[in-house]
Amino acid sequence: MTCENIQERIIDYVLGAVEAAEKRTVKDHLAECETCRLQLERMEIVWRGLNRLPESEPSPALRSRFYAMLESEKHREPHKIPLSGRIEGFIASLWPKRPALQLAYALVLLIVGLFIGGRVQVWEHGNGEMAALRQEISEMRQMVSVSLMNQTSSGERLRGIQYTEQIKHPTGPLLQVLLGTLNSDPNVNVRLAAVDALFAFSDRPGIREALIASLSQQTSPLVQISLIDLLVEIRERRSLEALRDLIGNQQVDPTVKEYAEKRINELI
Amino acid sequence: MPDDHELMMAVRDGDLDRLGPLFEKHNRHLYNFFFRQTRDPHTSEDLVQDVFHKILRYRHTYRGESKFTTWMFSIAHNSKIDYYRKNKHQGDQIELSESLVSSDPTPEDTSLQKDEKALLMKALRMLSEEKREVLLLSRFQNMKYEEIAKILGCKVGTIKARVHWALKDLTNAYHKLAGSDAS
Repeated sequence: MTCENIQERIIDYVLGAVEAAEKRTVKDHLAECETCRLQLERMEIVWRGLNRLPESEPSPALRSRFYAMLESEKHREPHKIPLSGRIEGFIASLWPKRPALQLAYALVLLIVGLFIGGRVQVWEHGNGEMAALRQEISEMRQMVSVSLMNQTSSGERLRGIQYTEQIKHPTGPLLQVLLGTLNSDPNVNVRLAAVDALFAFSDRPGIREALIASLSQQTSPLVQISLIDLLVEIRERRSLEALRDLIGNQQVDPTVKEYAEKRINELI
Repeated sequence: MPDDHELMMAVRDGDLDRLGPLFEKHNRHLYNFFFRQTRDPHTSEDLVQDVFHKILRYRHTYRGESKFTTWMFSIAHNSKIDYYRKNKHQGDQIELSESLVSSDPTPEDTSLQKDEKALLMKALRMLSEEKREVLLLSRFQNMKYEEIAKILGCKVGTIKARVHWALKDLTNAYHKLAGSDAS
């Protein structure tokens, strides 16, 4: 075997990736050829040396930051889910168990409701400005949100997206900015927040189509997975083609493909 | 004692405290994985924090089909890519200054020549980003080519070739720095 042929095998030899039979061939060659022997020694020094490199220690701040984050996540959780459970429990506890009482209760509620409804209608009629004021506040919120989303700091942009949670009736420009953020913000966390925000507005015209189109534009596996989750969650069957394209795309991360393959079944 | 997979399954099912032992076991590995690439302790700590934040946030996507560490390093790899994208210009500057100082050694470098570890670290820094990363995963994390291929989203053959080139380049760089270049 020539030196040229043996060169490739020397690397495998150092890496411990040669078969027993091949090992023999390499060894035989090394016994005869000094140049290759020297090459092997040079490589082994480096490969063994790597294992002796000292490890660096992170500062204690890393540990405290991690546990602070874990605590805040734990406290965020109980508010999120059991709150609705608690409200349901509260309403259930108000409801009497005996059917006769339930009927009486319902009648009383109906009468009280009719009475309050009548009064509110009169009051609202006399205060037409109230609706205008509400509209104004909503528009102002949207303006603040859009302007934050255009800031250079990713923290500000995240705040802008969080602000949209308070907006019930988003206007076209706000939705366009949100979609623009989803498709081209340089920060992956900002893009992820945009996915969450758009989930709340997925019933608005054009949003579902834009979300499907966005799937092929995303390059970060995390954003791709979030979008897949969203599209399956809103049962958007028109996304099937985009999901299949994603699975067939050579450039896409295998974990994402695997995930898409799993979730696609929920839509079929 | 529960293994990584059992702990992560518990985290996925809502027992968030179980992430603590996973952090204790892996934070140093992750930190060194980032530190050997960025050379900046603050950035490396930020990136470790980012990885665990993403693990918490995307815990429901964990299926345990590959090893926990494969999943964790996939997240780490993506966090690093995002970091480089955001700090592209800064990264260029670091690479440039690094390549300037790591040219042929001058007589003044003799104290450094004696320190093999320092030389090796310097040689490691001279490798391209891609080559350095595969070496870090295969040598320091003892990962198989198949696992690295999953993490980086490449074919196994590509990884194998990349490890070969990385070792070749590292050997040349090291011996050149050490002043014992025979070729």
